[in-house]
Amino acid sequence: MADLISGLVFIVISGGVFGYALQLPAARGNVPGPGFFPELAAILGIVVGAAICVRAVIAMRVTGGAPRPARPEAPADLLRFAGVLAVSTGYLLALRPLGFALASALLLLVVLVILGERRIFILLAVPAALTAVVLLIFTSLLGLRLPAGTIF
Amino acid sequence: MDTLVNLYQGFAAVLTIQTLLVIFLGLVAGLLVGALPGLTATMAVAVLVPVTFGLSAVPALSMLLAIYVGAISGGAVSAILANTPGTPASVATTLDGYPMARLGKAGRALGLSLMVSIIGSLIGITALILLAPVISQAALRFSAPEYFALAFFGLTMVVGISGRDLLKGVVSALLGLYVGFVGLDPMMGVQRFTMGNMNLLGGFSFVPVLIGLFAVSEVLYQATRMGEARPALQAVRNVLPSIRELLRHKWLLLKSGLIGTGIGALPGAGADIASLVSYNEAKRSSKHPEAFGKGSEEGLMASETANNAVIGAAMIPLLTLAIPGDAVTAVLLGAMRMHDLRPGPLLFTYSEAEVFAMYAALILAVLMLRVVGLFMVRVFARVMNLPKRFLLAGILLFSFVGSYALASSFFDLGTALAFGVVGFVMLRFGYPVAPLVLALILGPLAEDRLRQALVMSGGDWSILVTRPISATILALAVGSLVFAFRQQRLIARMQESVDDDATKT
Repeated sequence: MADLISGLVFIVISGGVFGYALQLPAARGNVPGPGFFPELAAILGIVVGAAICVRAVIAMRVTGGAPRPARPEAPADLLRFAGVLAVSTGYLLALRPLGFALASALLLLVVLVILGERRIFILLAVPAALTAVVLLIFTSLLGLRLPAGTIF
Repeated sequence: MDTLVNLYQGFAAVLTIQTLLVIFLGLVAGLLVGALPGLTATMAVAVLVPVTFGLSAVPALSMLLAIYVGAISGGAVSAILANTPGTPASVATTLDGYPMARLGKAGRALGLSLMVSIIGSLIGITALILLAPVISQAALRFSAPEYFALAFFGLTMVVGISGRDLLKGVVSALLGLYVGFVGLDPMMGVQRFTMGNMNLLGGFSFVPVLIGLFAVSEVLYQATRMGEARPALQAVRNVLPSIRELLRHKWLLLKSGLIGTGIGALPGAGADIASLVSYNEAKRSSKHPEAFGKGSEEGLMASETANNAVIGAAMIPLLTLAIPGDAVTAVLLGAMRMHDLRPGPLLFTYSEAEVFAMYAALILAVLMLRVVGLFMVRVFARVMNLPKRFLLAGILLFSFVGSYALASSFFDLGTALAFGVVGFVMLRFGYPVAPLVLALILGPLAEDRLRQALVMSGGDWSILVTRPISATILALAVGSLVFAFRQQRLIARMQESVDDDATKT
C-alpha cells in the first residue's frame, strides 16, 4: 500500500512538473529550450510512477493485501516525529525575533523532552552548554554571524 | 618525480598546527558518527561542511576528508561490538567481526580492522595519486558532447546506488533532476520552477539541500526509532596485529584493496558494494571458506580493506571529471565549490597545490587513524551506550545553524528543513536519497552540455555518436546500464545472504 501511495504521489508531482514545463519554450531553433528536459524527465517520471503502482498492485494481489513484515510505527513514534518537525518549524520562525542563543537553547530543550529526557538538570545544562559551544565555534572561531534577535 | 615533489609540497602545506588540529578533530568526529548505527559518513561530512566555511580551502577540505576516513573506519566499531553496521560500508564486517567478538576476540577484531583500514586506505590513495593526473590529462580534450556523455554515464550509474529497488532509485534520481531544474535557465535566462521567488533564481543552495537530505531527515527518522532496543555490546581490549601477521595475508589485503579501488572509482558504486564483493571474493578463494561467517579474520580483513580503499578511489572521478563516485564525494564536490575549487581536468592546472595538499591530508588522516583509533575505540564503545537523543539534538542544531550561517539566509534554513522532510519521507517509504544528490549534480551538467553540443552542431544530434570519445562513453553508459541491472541482482542476493547469516549469528 505504501508503494502504491508513493507511486501515485510521484505521478502527481511529475504531472505538475510536466504542466509547468509546457509553459516554457520547448525549443530555440534546432536546440532544445528550457522546457524540453523538464518535459522529458516528467514523462519518464509518470511512466516510472505508474510502474511502481502496477508493481504494488500486483504484490498486493499476490500477498492478498497483507502488509510487509516491517517494524510498525507506534503512535508515539509518529508523535515524536511530528513534535520534532513542529519545534523545528517554530525555531525557523523564532530565530529572527528571539535571536540565536535563546531560540537554540529552547529548540534543544524541547527536542530533548520530545525524545524522552526528563531530568531537569540535564534539560537545563545540555541546551545551555551545547548552544554556548555552537555559538563559540561559529562566531568566535569561524567569524560567522548568527542572528542576535530583535525583541531583547 | 614531479608527483613526489608536488606531494612533498602538499605535506608542507598541511603540516601546520591548524591543519593537523582540524584533521584530528575531523577524524574524531568521523569515528564517532561512524561508530553510531544509523548515522552515515555522508551525514557527518554534510553537517560539518558549514563548520569549514571560516577556514581556507586546504584545512577545510583536510577536515572533511578526515571525517570521511574516520566515519568509514568507525563503522567497524559497532559492526564488531554490536552486530550493527555503523555505516552501510561495514555491513560485511558484521559477518565475521561480531562472531569474533562473541568468541572473546573483540579487541583482536578491532585491532585488525584498524590496521587493514589503514592499508586499504593507502592502496586507494596510491591509485588516486597515480591515476588522477593521467585521467585529467585525457579529459582536457573533452568538449561539450564528451561532458554530456560523461554526465549521462554518471546518471546511468544511479542504478548502482539504488540499493535493491531500481524503480525507487530512478524516482529518487528524477526528483534530483526536478530540483536541479529550479532557477534561471542557463542559456535563455528564463525562470524555471521558481514560483516567482527571488531566492530561487540561482536554484536551491546545494549545501542546505544536502544537510536537509542527509542530516535533518536522519534526525526526524531516528525520532521514530527511539523505542528500539539497544544492541548488547561485547567487552573490548585492544590487540593490534603485528606486521608479520599482516604480511601473512598480503595477497588478500592487496586483492581486497584493488577490488575496493576498482569499485570505488566507478561513479555510483560505493563502499558498501565494495566490501560485499571483496568479502565474497575472499570467501571464494579462501582455503577455509567454512570459517567465513563464524569469526574468520580473512572475512573481516577483506571487508574493511575494501571499504577503506574506496575513499581514495571515489575521489578519482570527483577530482578529474567532477563526477562524484558516491554520496560522500557528492557532498565533497559541493564543499570544494564552496571553497572556490572547481573539480574537473582544469583543477590540476589551476589548483595543483591544493590537490596535492588534499592527498597529503588524506595520507595524514589515515596515519593518524592508527593512533587516534587505538585510543578512541574504548571511548566510542562507551559513546554507543549514551542515549541517542543528545546526539540527535546536537545534529539538529548544527544542521540549522550551518545552513543559516553559510549565507546568513533564513531561506537556506527553510530549505534544509524542507529537504529534511523530503528525505524523511523517502527513508520512510524506502527510497534511496543518494541518487537524488547525484542527479542534482549531474542533471544540470548533462542538460547544459547537451544544449551546448547541439549549438555546436547546429541541432544535429549525431554529434554525440560521431565523435569517438563521446560515442565510446555513451556506449559504456549503455553497457554499464546492462551490467548494473545484472550486478544489482547479484548484490541483492549477496545482501540477502549477509542478512541471513547476520540473523543466524
